[in-house]
Amino acid sequence: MNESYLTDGGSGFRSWLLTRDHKRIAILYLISISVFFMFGGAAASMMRAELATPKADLVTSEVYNRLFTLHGVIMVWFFLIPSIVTVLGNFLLPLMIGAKDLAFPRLNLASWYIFVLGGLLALYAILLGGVDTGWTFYTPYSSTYSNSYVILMAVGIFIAGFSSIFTGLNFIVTTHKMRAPGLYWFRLPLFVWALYSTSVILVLATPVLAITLALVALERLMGVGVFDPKLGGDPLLFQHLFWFYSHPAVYIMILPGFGVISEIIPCFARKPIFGYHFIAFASIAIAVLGFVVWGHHMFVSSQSLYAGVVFSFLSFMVAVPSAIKVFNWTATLYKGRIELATPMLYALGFIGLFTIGGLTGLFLATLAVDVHLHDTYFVIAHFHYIMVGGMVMAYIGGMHFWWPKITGRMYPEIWGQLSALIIFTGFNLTFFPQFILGYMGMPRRYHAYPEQFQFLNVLSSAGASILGIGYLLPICYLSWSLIKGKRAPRNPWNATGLEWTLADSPPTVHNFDEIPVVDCEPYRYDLPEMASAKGDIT
Amino acid sequence: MNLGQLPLFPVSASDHATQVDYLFLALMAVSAGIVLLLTVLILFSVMRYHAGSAADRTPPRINTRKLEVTWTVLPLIIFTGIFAWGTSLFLDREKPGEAPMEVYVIGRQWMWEIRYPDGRHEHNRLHVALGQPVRLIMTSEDVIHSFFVPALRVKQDVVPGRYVTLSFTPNRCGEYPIYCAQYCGTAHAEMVGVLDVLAPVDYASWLSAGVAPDSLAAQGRALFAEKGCAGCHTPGAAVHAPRLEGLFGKQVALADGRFVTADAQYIHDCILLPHRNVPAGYDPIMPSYQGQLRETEVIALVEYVKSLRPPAADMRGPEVRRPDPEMKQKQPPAP
Amino acid sequence: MTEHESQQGCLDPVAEHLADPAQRLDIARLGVWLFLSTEVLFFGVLFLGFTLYRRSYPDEFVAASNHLNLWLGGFNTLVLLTSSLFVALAVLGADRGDRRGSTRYLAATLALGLVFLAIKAFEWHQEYQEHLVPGLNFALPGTDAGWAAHEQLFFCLYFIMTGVHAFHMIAGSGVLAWLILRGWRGHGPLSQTESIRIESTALYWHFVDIVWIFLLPLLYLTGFN
Repeated sequence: MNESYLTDGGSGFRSWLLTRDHKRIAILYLISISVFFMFGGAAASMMRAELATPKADLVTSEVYNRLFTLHGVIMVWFFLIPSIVTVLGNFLLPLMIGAKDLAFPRLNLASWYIFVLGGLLALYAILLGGVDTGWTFYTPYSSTYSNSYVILMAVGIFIAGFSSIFTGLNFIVTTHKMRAPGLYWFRLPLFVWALYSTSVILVLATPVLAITLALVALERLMGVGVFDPKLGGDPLLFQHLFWFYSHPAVYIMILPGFGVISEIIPCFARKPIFGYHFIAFASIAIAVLGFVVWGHHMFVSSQSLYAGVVFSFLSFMVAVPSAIKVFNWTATLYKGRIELATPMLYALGFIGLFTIGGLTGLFLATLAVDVHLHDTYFVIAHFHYIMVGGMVMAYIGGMHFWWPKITGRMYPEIWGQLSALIIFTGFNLTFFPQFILGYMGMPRRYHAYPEQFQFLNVLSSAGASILGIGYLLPICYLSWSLIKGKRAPRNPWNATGLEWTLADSPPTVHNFDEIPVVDCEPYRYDLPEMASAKGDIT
Repeated sequence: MNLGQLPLFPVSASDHATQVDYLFLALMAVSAGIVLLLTVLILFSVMRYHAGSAADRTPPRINTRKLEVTWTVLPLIIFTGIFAWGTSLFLDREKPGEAPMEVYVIGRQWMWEIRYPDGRHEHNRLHVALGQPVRLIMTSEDVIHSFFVPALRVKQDVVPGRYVTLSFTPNRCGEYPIYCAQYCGTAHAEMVGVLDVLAPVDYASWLSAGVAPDSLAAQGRALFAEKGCAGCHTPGAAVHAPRLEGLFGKQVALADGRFVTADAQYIHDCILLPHRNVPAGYDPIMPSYQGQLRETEVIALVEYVKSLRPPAADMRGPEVRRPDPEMKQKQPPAP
Repeated sequence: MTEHESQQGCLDPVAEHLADPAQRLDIARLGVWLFLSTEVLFFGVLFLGFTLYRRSYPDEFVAASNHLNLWLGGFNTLVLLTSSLFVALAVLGADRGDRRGSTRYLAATLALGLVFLAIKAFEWHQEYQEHLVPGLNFALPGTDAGWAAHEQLFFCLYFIMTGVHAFHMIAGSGVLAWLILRGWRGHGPLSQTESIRIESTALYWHFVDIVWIFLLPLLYLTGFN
């Protein structure tokens, strides 16, 4: 058996911490973001435990405010934004385009170190006592009033932002310049299109966040009034700058998820994807339109009415490409040969949950309705449907799909399917009641609430415990599979794509002995030999 | 239709609230329809086209391009329709009813201070009369808060340094919660108030009960003298300063060429940020009162300026105010 | 300059993952331009903030700008433009593989860059002595609190913008110093890798120069007549 990237080149700490191999860096990221996910999840568990009762009986409001800030900051910047991009993207992009590594391998490693440094600073801020501004850092509360470690946290996020920028830069250059011969843009897997669109956003939006947080930190440090009205500053300027980044940021989170689904569905429906070009262009459209809708977070902020109207219209427009994708995936299933393997269960769950999340986005884009729903639990439910019901499901589904390739092991299928169902159930129980709570008027970021909201909150907290179990299971059996799982063949799912057809499981250090020459379209599941998803199981 | 009986909907206490509910239900219907359609299609495909099933899999003869265009254009049309409905409802909300009762609301960590023009003030409780249009003029003393009344389906962020307005007309008696909906610190969840909508009879008795303190305008007059405003802003003053009688609501020409309406925000800025709004023909010599006046005092001054009627000979409609040429020639009073 | 000419640097072997020297050059160029585009957005926020407040407080900003030393600012602009000339000449030298020539030009660039930084530090020191540093000792006697706060806003943005710019200059100077050291220690004609590094650094340096070209009128020439 060939030496794989896991063993070839050394197995001590040094060989891993000084690696330039994109695959090893992906594993480093996998470990880091999993750690951060635990922290973010722990905070969420405590929040839901507190919210099971109307009174503040588990934690004080001070602690609760720090918990929800921790949850938001860690989950957004240290889990969701990196996850698919830095784990699956790093691992798969060169493989999918027939390259031996990314364009700038050392920059890739530097990105990881920068990410970890930013994360450690954020964790240190939490350890010292945390931040209580919410992940949105609205001024003047964060710049003048908050009595917490805002500067330290802002610096941590600032630094981690550069990790995003460098990764995006690396991906764009790689995709443009290192494709194998014959791999024209419209022969690329849709996951690559998704990563490319995401990278454009990473590169253009993140600098704005960096400088905005730097301004908040400087305002705290120097006591000047960039955002403080008492000194002539404008608190709304902060909101515009913050959301100019943070809205595209949500597309950073979801676009890679779309890409994963576009890989899984054709494989387990055994059909070429329906509407390849439309899905590819939809990714680009989402990336572009995503930059001009930020004001929909500010409809009641006292921005001008007419700005509100424009942003509302554009927000409806940006929903169209996402709808196109959902219809295309559904059409792919029609007349396929569907197998409900674990990745497929996650993908189907994604379609359902993302659709609900996306549709509730329309509620929030509707001006008159948003005035009622803004800053209530409806918004929380909306974005969790997209980020957790969508993104995290796509991430876990993708991890299962490419697990054999990454680790060379198969996971126990029954446990995979069971966990998918538990997660789906727990998720809906946790977050659907929150839509109702929102319309009833329960505001966000409340540690204590009026009695009449209790029943739905209890349902939500109960769902959260089921969801927690659902997340623990894959961690357990995937870890187990590393030692006891069946060895994976080169292409267990009989999937198309250079990472399956040419590279071993797991791949060698250099991915390919010879750079492949591509001469066919992607997703050729219509070829006779591709009719079944049963690969060569040894 | 009042859906307040269902435990899943808040009470609706205004016409606007009911309209929002209709729009919300329409959105629900569209969403449910789409979700149902997709669920059926997916389940159908999964069951019928399961691997190994003997279903007919010859590719359908459809124009895929047309299909793509259809399911792009159709959502576009539906979305545009919803957008239009939502926008028109939103813009309607901004129009205050006839002769609204104006009430000032000041948000501060962590309570709502309500100030009525007649001088009363309450904490965390707002009394209004059934059917009476209300216009809230709101500001914050510290951080951003948000005044949220679920029963009315309205909220408005309350921002320090500026006045924002919220208009509504309650159509149902009762007590409705007011929440702060913009995270504002430790006791954000405790910044809860009550909107008390009273029948006209009860409202009248609430008005007449209790001691009537000085009206806001009277408080403003006292401040006007106490803080030295009268030193410049009266006829005969040594300093060339704009006259305030009849100013409120008029168009003002500023030194930098802009024209603005002298509303509450304008008066507020003139007092706290005078260099922002130097009127044409005047020097930028007014001192700023930033840090010397609380928002409640500024409101009183605004009400006072509002109450200043124009001099009898000057009862024209909105016009461009020009500096009084006679002012320049007045001699300072003998010391 | 065509791609062929610019590969005049002696073609040292490419890294494992790259196909050929042409690819190495290609990815370096695209990478640098992408990086500079992120910097445009980074600085863009500051320019936007400044422009918005300039519109809000025109008089205060004019008055504050008049405190700045236009002579020093102008002279610094000349210094920076000349340093850009030298770095461009360094690139031309690198394309010919001329180690000594390009290293000398890099040294000239670095020298002028350090002159710029020294003058900037001197300016800041002057401003410190005039009590114009927000957060440290800002005080404008004879003005009321509102006016002073708005002038302070100008200076806050001034120090942040010139500070971020100076940080970029320092980072660039560090890279130049490293390139000079390597250029000095190496032998024979410059390799393609070294040539690429010089070209990338030059692009970065030009960008930092262009940022200054925008900073100067915005900060120093506000209300100048």
